[in-house]
Parts: sequence; structure tokens; C-alpha cells
Amino acid sequence: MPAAHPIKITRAEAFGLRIPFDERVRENMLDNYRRENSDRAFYSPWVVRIHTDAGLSGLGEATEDPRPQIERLVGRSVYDFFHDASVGNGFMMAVYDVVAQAAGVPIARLFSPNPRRTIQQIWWSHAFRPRLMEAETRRGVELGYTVHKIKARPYEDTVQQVAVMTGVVPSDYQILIDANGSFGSPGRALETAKELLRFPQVKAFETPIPHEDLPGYRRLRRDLPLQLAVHWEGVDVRTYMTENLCDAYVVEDWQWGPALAEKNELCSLTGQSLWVENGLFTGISQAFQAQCAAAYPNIRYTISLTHIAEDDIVVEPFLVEGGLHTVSQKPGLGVPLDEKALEKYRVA
Amino acid sequence: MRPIDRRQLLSRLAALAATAPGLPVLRLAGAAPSSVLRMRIMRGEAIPVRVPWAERVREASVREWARENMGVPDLRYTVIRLHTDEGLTGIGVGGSQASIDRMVGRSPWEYVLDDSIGGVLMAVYDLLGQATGLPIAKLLAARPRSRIVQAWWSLSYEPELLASEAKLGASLGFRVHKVKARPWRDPVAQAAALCAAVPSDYRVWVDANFFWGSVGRTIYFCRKLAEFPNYFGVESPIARGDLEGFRCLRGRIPLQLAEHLGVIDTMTAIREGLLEAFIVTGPFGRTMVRLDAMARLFGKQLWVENSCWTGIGQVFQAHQAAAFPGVAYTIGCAHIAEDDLVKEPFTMRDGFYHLPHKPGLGVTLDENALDKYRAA
Repeated sequence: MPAAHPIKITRAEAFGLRIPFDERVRENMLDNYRRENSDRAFYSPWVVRIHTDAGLSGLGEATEDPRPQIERLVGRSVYDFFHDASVGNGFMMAVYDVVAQAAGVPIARLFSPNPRRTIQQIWWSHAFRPRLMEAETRRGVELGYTVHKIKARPYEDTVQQVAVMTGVVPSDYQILIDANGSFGSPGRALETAKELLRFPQVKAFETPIPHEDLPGYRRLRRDLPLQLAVHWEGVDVRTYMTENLCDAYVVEDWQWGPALAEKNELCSLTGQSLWVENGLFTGISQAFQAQCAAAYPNIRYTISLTHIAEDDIVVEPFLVEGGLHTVSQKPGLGVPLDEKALEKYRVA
Repeated sequence: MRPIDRRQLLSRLAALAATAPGLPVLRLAGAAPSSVLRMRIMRGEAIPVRVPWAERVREASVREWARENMGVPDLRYTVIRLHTDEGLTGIGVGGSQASIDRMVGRSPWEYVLDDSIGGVLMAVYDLLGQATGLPIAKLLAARPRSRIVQAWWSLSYEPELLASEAKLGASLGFRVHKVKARPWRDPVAQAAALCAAVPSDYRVWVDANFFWGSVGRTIYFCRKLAEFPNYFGVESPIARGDLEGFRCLRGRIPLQLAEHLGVIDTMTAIREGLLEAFIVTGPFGRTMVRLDAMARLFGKQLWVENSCWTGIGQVFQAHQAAAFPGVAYTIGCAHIAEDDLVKEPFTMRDGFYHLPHKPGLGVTLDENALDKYRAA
């Protein structure tokens, strides 16, 4: 019998980046973050890359400094870290990239025997001032998006924002409103919903009130005439599943592999869906997230912030047509890194 | 000259590399693992077999099945073999030749988690494990358990034979036993005989396969059986789909209650706290991920018997149980067959089966046994 052939990791790299907000939204993003007591002028993802003795290299994006993991990776078989979240989210992605390339399949095939060809990626805006919100909405429509998630904040009039948006979108455009708990109470959330119902494009509320307010969510579930989404990591999922307290869970824990597979499977049991926003800051995690969404049918939407940043540091654009992104069928992740952009934004 | 594709090119370069190691491009090709060359399934066989019952239980087993109007003179299943262009062979049990034929020319990676191909998926995982150097459990989970609890299994034999079988199970290292209960036997008399033959840490659950029929009879038998400290669970006591019956049983029986998945709505069972465990009979792919996630989130147990009749299936079940912590028990029945068709014995130690560390399934098909029991 032929021996197994582990693919050995010969080198692992990590690059700390600072990618400023894109000029068209920069000022408003800075203002909004300051209003929320955050001084944030850029995104700070880490990009990782592993090289192997098979001549294959894999890419990933990490949320935290991945350098402490490098020593344990080098010299080991890439398969030793298959499904292993302990290497961090970036290297986990890179391992999947290499394994899929070696197998000659897109990453989605590592997670599903019959992945979808297209997934629904949604456009995203912070609680921009109405004029910018209108321009960003127009841009989203032009780029092929049909679903748009916006932030609702006390310092902007959500109804006014939606009014300008609906002036520039087709009737089947869908708007999801993420209050991050800022509506405060179920009564206020229901009042806001009542005002927004005159815009048929408004379809859902995400976290309208703080996650801790379980009685409030029970009331909203009964009375809110919109879809309701909450953050998976913010609620007791057992309660939300057994009482059917929401339509969807927003996933932003950056846990890939088995952790995401389990969420998908649990939603198969309950009929709820996932809105996944794990892959936020670069085209690497955006593409990986798309592969996951292709594999897991209960992921209804994927959300990224790459269009808010100055660069997504991958060579190929993330294209959307009719609201759908066609997932790469190339082996592995299927997106090449933009080396020049990597050097430009590298700080560590 | 016929053009060669990339795959053929790499293969030839790899062969050349052995004789000309100085050239960098050839060194690279020589280092390339088989999986880089994109392993493909070249052919496969679904081999029907018939294995008689083990002699010590043969007559009784045939009689037990006959009482349920089933003629089961032996065990009938299909052994699966998949062969790749890299010279690997994966084995499994269950599945069809038609499934295999559709896979020829494809990568085994394309079938990961595929619920639709039956036991052929075992052979797929066996191939992938061998190609990557990972035991199947490690292919399914980053940190699988090293040992699992396998349960011994008996039909509803008369008390003396049941006690003898339990004694055999205990002597072989088993500490959990699933026993069938049937209306033509007194389960209390069976329990008395069984418990007299086993150590105090030997645990038993009883599977009525719906034969007890009513809530009242179930409560009666469960209370009687709970008087034996070895007894801890009851499976499928009342009629299939009798949701009201399960509601009546809630909190009224002193044994853990288990039912097959799909008999009552899973979320209803969870929401209303009707069951402690779910019996899993298949399939092996994505469904197992779902059930494991469900079991862990909602604090339920999975008692798995999705491939229990051969050594191949038993070890595959063990890999699943190691990878999926929601699995509390796997159930094996290969010990009541004349042969389990694998070379390595399924050895229990103090109630646990320790997983093989070899790549893939980690056990070897006994070709002599396969030839012996191959159906015409």
C-alpha cells in the first residue's frame, strides 16, 4: 500500500495591515465612530500565508496577531491542522486553501458534496448622513447588489435615511436595519417599525434592542411585522431555537470550519437562517466566506466591509450580479493576493 | 503524439525525479504528494456477502426473527472497495455499485459529508485518511477522543442464553449492553438472569421496538427494570409517532428514554424535554454533523448504530463517535455473526474501545473471509 504523503509547511508568514477607509466614506465613518466613542480611522486585519514542500501556498485573514502560531506550524503536515481552530482563524483558512488546492477542488467542496454556485452577498452602510447614504445606495445598486444592510443610530433619523434610499432603488431592493440595540426598548422598536412599514423595501430588523432583553424579544417576535435577526454570539441560542424567537442569526465570531458547520446544521433543524459577517476586511476572508456560504445552505446572506476600505488587497474584484456572487470554482480559495497592495498597507 | 495533461506530466516528472534529483523542477514534482496529483477513483466494487450467525446464538437468533415473521438465516450486506489511481484502496460497508460507478474519475474529496452514497462514504473517508496520513476521526475533527464506549447487543433471548451472552460481553471488556425486549419473553426475568451474570458496573438498556405498545405497560416495565441497578435506559417503548404517549411518559419512568430520530419531531422532543437520547441509524455524512451539534447544544445523547454488523462498520462508527462528542454510545452487533470480515479484533478494555492510530479506517479487510462469505 502506498504511504501517506503529508504536505509539510515549510514557512509561515503574517502581515499586519492598516487599510484606511475609502475616501468617499472616510469622513462620515470617522464621525460615526467618534460618536460611538471609538477613534478608528482604518481596518487592521492580519494576512497570513503558508508555504509547503508541495509548492503550494495558502492564504488567510486573521483578526488577531497570528505570529505566535507560526512556530508550531512549520515542519508539520498541513493535514495535522485540518479543521483545527486552535491555529487561529487566519491560518485555519490558509490550511483549507492548501488542502483544497492539493485536492483540486474549491474550498466549498471540503465542506459540502454539492455546494451552490452562487451566494447572496449584501451591501453595507454605516448610519451615514442622508446624502452619502443616497450615494452609497446608488453605488450598491450599480454594482449589482439587491440587499442592503444599514446601521440605525440615534444621531441619524432612520426614517429619513430610508426615505432617501428608497428614492434611488428598485422596488424589489431589500433593506435590513441593524440598530445594534440602539432602539432601546421593544416599544420604541415597534414604533420605528410602524413608521418604516410605508417603505416596502424594509424587510428586517437586526438587534433592535439589547440582546439581554429576552422578554423584549419575546414581545417583538409576537408583534414585529418584520423579520427579526439577532447575533448568534449575543444570545442563548438554545432559548432562541426552542422558542423560535428570531428568523436569523448574525454570525460575527470569526469561527470557521466545524463551528460554522454546526450553526448551519442547527438552522437546518429549526428552519432559521444565518447572516454571516465573519469575512469583513479583505478580499481573502470575503472569498473564504463566499466558499462557506456556497457549502452551507442555511447561510442566507454574507456581509463584508471591503467596499468601505481603500483596498481589498486581492487582485480580482468581488463581483455581484443580480444580488448574487458567483463563487470561484478554482482549486482552493481562488483569489490571488495583490502583493503591491500588501506592501503598501503593511505595518507589521 | 498524444498530448499529455498536467496530471500525467506531474506523474512523469515525479518518476524522473527519483533518477535525477539535481534538477529543481524534478525535486518539486518528486516532493509532490499523491493528493497534489489529484487522486481519482478509478474503480470500485460492491460485493454482496452472507455471513451466518455465530454458532452459539444461531438457532436462537433465527427463531427470534421468525417470531417477528422475518426469515433471517444470516446477515446480508455489501462490502465496498474503492480503488484510486494512486494505488490506494478504501473499504466500507453498505451502498450500491451504481453509486460507485458514478464516482469513477472523480476525486474522493468531492464526496466529503455526502449523505447520499451510503456506506461508500466510509470507503471515501478511508481513502482520504490514507492519502493525508490521518485516521478518519482526525479527518472529521481536530481533536477526536482516543476511546469510545461501544455497547454489546443481544436479541431477546431466553434468560439463560441472555445471561451467557452478557457474561461473554463483560469478559470481553464491554460495560454497556443493549437488549431487545419482546412480548414473548418476560423482561424482568431476563433482567434477573442477566444481572446475576455481570459485574455491578455493567449497564443495560432495553429496546422494546414499539412492542410494549402502551404508556401503562411501559411505566410498569420501566419501574420493574429500574429495580435492577444495572438498567439505565429504555428505547422505543411505545408506538411509532405516539407523541401524546411520549408526553405522558415524561417524568414518569425511572429510566433514560431514547427514541429513533424521525419517530417524533426532533425539535418537539427537545422543546418539550421528551427524550434523553436519540438513536441514530444513519446516514453518515452531513447528518452526523447536524445531530452532533443538536445533541451538544441541547444536552442530549446520540446512541449510534448506523453501521453495526461488520468490523468495518463498527470501527467506522468508532471514528464517528471519537469525532462527534455528542455520541454517547455506539452499538455493535458483529459479535453475533460468524465473522466480522476484518483482520484486527475489536478489542474492548474496561468498557472502552481505543481507536486505531493508523491512517484511514485503520483496519484491514480479511480477503479470505470475504471470499468465504461472498454471495453468488
